[in-house]
Amino acid sequence: MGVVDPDEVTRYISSLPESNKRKELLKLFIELPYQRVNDSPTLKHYTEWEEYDRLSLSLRAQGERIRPILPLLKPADKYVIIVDNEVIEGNLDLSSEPYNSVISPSSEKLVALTLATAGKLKVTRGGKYFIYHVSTSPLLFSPLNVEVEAGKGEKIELFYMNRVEAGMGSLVLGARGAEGSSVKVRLVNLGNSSHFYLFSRMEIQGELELDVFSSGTRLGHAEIKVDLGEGARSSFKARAFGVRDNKIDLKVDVNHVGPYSSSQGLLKAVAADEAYTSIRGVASISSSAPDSSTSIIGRSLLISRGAKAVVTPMLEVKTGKIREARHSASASKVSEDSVFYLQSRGVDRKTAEGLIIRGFLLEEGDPSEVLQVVEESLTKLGYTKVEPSV
Amino acid sequence: MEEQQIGLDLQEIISASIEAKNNRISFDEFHERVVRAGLRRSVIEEISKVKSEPEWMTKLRLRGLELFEKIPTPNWLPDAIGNLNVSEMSLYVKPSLDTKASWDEIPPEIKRYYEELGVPKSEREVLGGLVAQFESEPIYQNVKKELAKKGVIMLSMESAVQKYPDLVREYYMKIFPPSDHKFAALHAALSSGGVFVYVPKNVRIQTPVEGFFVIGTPQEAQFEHTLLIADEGSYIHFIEGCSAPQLTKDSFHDGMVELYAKSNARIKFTTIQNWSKNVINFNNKRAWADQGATVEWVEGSLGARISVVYPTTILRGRGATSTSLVVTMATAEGDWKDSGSKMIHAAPDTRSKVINKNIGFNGGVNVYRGVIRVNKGAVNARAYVKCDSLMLDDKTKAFTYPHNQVFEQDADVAHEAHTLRMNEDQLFYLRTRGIGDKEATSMLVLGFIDDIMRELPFEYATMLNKVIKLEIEKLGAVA
Repeated sequence: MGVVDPDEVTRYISSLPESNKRKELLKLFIELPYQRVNDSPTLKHYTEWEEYDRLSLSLRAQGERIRPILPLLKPADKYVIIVDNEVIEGNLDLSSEPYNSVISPSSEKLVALTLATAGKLKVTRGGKYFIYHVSTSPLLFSPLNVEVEAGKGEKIELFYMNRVEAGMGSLVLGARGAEGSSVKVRLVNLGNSSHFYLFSRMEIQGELELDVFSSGTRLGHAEIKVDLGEGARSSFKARAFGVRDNKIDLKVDVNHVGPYSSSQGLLKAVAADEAYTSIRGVASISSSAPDSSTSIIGRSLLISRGAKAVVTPMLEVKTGKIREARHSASASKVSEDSVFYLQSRGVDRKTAEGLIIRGFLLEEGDPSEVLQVVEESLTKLGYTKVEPSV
Repeated sequence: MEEQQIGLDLQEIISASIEAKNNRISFDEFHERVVRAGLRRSVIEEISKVKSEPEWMTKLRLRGLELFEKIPTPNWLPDAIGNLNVSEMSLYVKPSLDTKASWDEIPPEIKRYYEELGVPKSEREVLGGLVAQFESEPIYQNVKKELAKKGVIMLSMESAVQKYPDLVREYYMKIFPPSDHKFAALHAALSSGGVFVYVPKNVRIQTPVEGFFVIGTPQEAQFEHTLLIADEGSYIHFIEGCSAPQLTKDSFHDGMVELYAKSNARIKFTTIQNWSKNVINFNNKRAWADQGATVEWVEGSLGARISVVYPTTILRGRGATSTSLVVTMATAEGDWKDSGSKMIHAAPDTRSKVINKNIGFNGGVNVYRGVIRVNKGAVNARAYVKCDSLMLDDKTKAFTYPHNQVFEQDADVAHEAHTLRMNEDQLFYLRTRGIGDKEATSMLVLGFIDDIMRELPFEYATMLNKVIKLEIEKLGAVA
């Protein structure tokens, strides 16, 4: 079976409401392969699925637990804090329904498992939402199912933060945005050489703003699929910061289904130590989406000798009537020219590199948790922060 | 020599391969269908016997057959291949005349055919040597005296196997092993014809050398094999021209090109493929570049219905460089041009550059599949890829699948791709200067592929120019 302990998960599901439906989902999980089609002729899979498969996790916290780091601020009125599969605080309720109306359970193997075992959060009204999803117990599988439905003209802001101190976190996120709606999603995953899995599908008729940040996972796979309807617009930023033995595979696919839709995306990765980062995505303009435009930029920075990076932005244009379709990709170390520029202004090499890496990785509006993790990791790598002098 | 013919139902073999995609049919069923189609051990042994091949070659063919059955079908292969009308083919046809040494001795009807393609003229005027292929077996071999004096070996693959068995054995299918994929294995099993070239140390051949391939009779399969070895410090520019008359049946082509540039050698390999629309071209191209060596691929994939060609260079020695310039044109409904270059950086200070230009109209499909891989230890590797697709009407499709895999920090890989349609402003500019729509379009299309045109020998650039203009003529209203 892999990922979860077979007996344990069967027992757990039986104890949950809707256990028959969940059993069907578990069956689907067992039947489905991790991946049907190879990713490339040279590298079979960009995610090392075997790593998940070797796990045998349980659904109830046991053993030594790490004290959870709770957020100082709850950046929204409606929030929920889940620690080790238990809601410990908040004003959002988990329902027991096992499905997600936007995502088919057969989309991926781990989607089926997550839906089989997770509680569901439903967000249907405009407003700001905050989900804090923590796992602290080793060998714990911590799943969550979230469904977002933004009606006409409605504005929803969702901030999902996942901290996996130990074990494995898993999120299935479905979102629908009607005409004139605005959906803003920020997904942050901070691990501690732990495991993380994310699968998301978003059907957008209005506007979408997406920000994904992933760091610290021994194996992290995050896949987001966006469908854009007529006149829909999306912009995304997806970042991966790999340290130590991290392996992070970040994939954002944008599928233009309706005419006059537009999308732009920025994928960035920094790989340090022995880390492996993969940033990829397919921008697809279907024949039903004339006059659309898409642009994806992928940038990878390798900052240590043992670092590895994969950048694969792809384009599928199925109509000749397009406004624009382009992508670019690069993978390199810190630019010598930029370092020289700073050195000639009296900054030493290490500091200069640190400045460039921070400038590359961080974005305006990053939450303090992200800043903190990035600073800690960079300091460990010898890139101490320089406070601006007056 | 007596005429020999071995029948093989290639249609069945191909459709069984397509159906075997994603393990939809079992190994046993696949084996049974392939055997029923005529592809079996005894047939392969017979081919090898007819060609009086050494034992290692027979073994390699049998290994190819074994692997062809074992290896799964690549999942990216377009299903359309399975629906083509490739009927019963005579795999191996021995022409009814022996190999002639001079052009004058060739029968007039075959000569006329070659002349229409412009072979002898260009051969006399610019090209250093020529091995033409007609109905699988070379009928014409002529290496200019001065080349022979320099010790250059250039002859048909069949003769090379007889005359230089050890030299051929050392390199044959070493660069592109039959285990690589299903159709490489099929090629190993059925390989027939092709050219063998060996350029000795420090010999630089100033004039381009041409091997002109012709698919002659209908229902004729071509599994030709080109093996080119440039020894240390040598230089050769090899031109592979492929053209076929309109055939009544679809024709399948599964050729292979292996290039080996030893240290400081330089190989330029130019292919202009303008086959008729019912040819399926599956060509396996791979090169090795040793220390300081250069491999340049220039590829014009203009004809054929379905074309699957990925020029690949493995940069194995320090300071090796490789470039790949590819133009593909998909000009009709059902056209599928799968191209893309692969550059494997396996040594320090290696450089590669890939420029891919796709032109599509009338519902044609262009696909770019590329890989840039920088292995651990390939410090200071540099790679640059640019792939652009130009779409001239609404029905056309273009896919771009680049893979950039960097396993060494000290590397610089850059990739950019742009899918665009005809620029209205530029068209308008030309129109206001009194230039008609079609002429303006072909001017802009030629401008689009200018980077590659510049790399072609003059007469090939002229030919490409003509072909593109003719194709644009077919185009309806400009998008």
